[in-house]
Amino acid sequence: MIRLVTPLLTALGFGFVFVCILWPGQRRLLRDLPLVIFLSLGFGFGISSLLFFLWLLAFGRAGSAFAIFELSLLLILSAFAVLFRRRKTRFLPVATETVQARHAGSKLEWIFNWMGAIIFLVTLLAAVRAFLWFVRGDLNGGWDAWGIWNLRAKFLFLGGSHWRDAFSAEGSLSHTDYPLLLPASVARAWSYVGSDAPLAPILIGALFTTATAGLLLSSLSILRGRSQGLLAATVLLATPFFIVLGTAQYADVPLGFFMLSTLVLLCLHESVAEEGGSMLALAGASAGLAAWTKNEGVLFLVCLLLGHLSLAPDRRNLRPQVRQLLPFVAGLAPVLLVLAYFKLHFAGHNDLFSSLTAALKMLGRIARWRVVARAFADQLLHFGGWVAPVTPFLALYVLLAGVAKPMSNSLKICLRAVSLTALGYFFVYIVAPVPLDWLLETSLNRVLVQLWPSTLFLVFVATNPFHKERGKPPGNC
Amino acid sequence: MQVNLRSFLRVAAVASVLVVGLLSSGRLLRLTHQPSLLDGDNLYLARFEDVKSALPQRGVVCYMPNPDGSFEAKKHYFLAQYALAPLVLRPSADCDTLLADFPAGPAPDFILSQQFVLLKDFGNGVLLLRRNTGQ
Repeated sequence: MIRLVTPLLTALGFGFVFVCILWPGQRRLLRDLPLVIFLSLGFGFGISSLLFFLWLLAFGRAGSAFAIFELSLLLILSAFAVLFRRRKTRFLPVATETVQARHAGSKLEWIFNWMGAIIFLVTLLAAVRAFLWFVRGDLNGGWDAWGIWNLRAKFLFLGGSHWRDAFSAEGSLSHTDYPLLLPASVARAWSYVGSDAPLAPILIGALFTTATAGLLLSSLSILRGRSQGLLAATVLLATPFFIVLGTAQYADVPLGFFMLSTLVLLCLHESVAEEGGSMLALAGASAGLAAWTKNEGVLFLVCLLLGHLSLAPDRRNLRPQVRQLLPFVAGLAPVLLVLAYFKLHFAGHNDLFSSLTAALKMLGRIARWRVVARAFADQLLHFGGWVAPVTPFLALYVLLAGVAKPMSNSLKICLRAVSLTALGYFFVYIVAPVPLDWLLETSLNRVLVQLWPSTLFLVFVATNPFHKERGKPPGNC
Repeated sequence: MQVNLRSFLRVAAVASVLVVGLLSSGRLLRLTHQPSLLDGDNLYLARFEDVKSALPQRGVVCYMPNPDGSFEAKKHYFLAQYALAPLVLRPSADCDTLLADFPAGPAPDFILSQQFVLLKDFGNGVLLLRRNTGQ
């Protein structure tokens, strides 16, 4: 167990150091600590998986030398982060709390916060118990865990210098084009332990599930007040399929985490009126890690860029929009370079896209549009495995609370990115050259879980709170 | 009055979301009071423990599942691949060494015909075969 804790803590350490270095100097780290820790979890797995892959490329196998290298690097980076942070904050005034006024709330606010906290705790306990129950019944995870993600991890860890067999065309290995954040994270943990213990992917799944809920709670608490954060996190943890998928050891929950963290960082960047764009760089890195997690992350990244560029009123104003993207691109580029190398040298063909001609042919089949539209509409009501559909109540809440106007630019970008990604998923189903019913049945609920944390974030950040809470006006992210 | 009604409806909408959430959590909790499901996949994977020592650690070995082409047979291939990775399993019969996997019952007669020779029966429907070269 201790051997397993070491790689997880080291990963968290990498994430923490990375976030600390880029966290704006005018924001107090201690005050944002819960948010920083949840962000660090995701970034940590992202960074350490990249390091693991680069190590395999350079040395062929990862043994104890890799662990020593990682621990040494972490020590050096930690020392650098302390010095860098101290220097960064020395000359900068700490921002006054523009995001959320921290004065004593009204009695009603106090009651709402306590009620929210109690309901959240009940939901959390149920989620933890359910997580353990599902894990006991399926130690090796679902089909995609042993068919794709953990299988690839086994090749990376047990394959030694033959780790490239993970992408072999000899067998019937499926989805060899999928990126490696999850398999490399699992293989890395196994390389510390020295065996392919099933507990490693289970713990990684648990940490991503926890971090997603924690990130939603802590970010909304900063941006919109604690009751909104508690409400959103309660809805997420009460989504049965989110918990089930967390235990399945699939990459959908990690991808959902990186989508959410990208949106959170974009919103925080604007809300703290940050200078220098280091929060944007973090958002860029997060979007890159989404692409390094699953192919859908690439679509999300493209939609995010389109969402940003769509803010330009005309083509002449495109240049300033592109210039604003520079810090984002700086954070994104290193991850994207590794992903590009992987795609060019290892990835097999994508089974959802054969050729442009075939895709156009599929687009012309009206029956497919009908089937996909019906499936999406059905999921809108029955998504998540709830006892009763929750989306109509959420929609009613948005209607009654009202969407804030004027909306901040970050929020507009986030809304457009998530909507475009959902639209992109719709079209992928239309053009995919595989049996449509099977594809919808086996994946639609999963891809919607990827967007669920981000959707909840947008719902609760964009609308007025259900009771008057002292804080920044909604919509100003 | 209108404003009050609106805030009341807003709180009611949130309360409805929370009630549905709590009901869903309640259902999850009720589920956990049932005994855990039997981990069939784990049992399936355990069937390959003994054969590992008789196979090369890496490379390619042919794999023959139940020839009915069913969903279960496909699932068994991927489970066997997971159990034996980093060895690559090729789902065909054109290698010298062949792993036959028939969890539901005895191997069909044609497997042990003139084409293949049984090297070892590991039990539970796991057989290691060699192509019959006539030597």
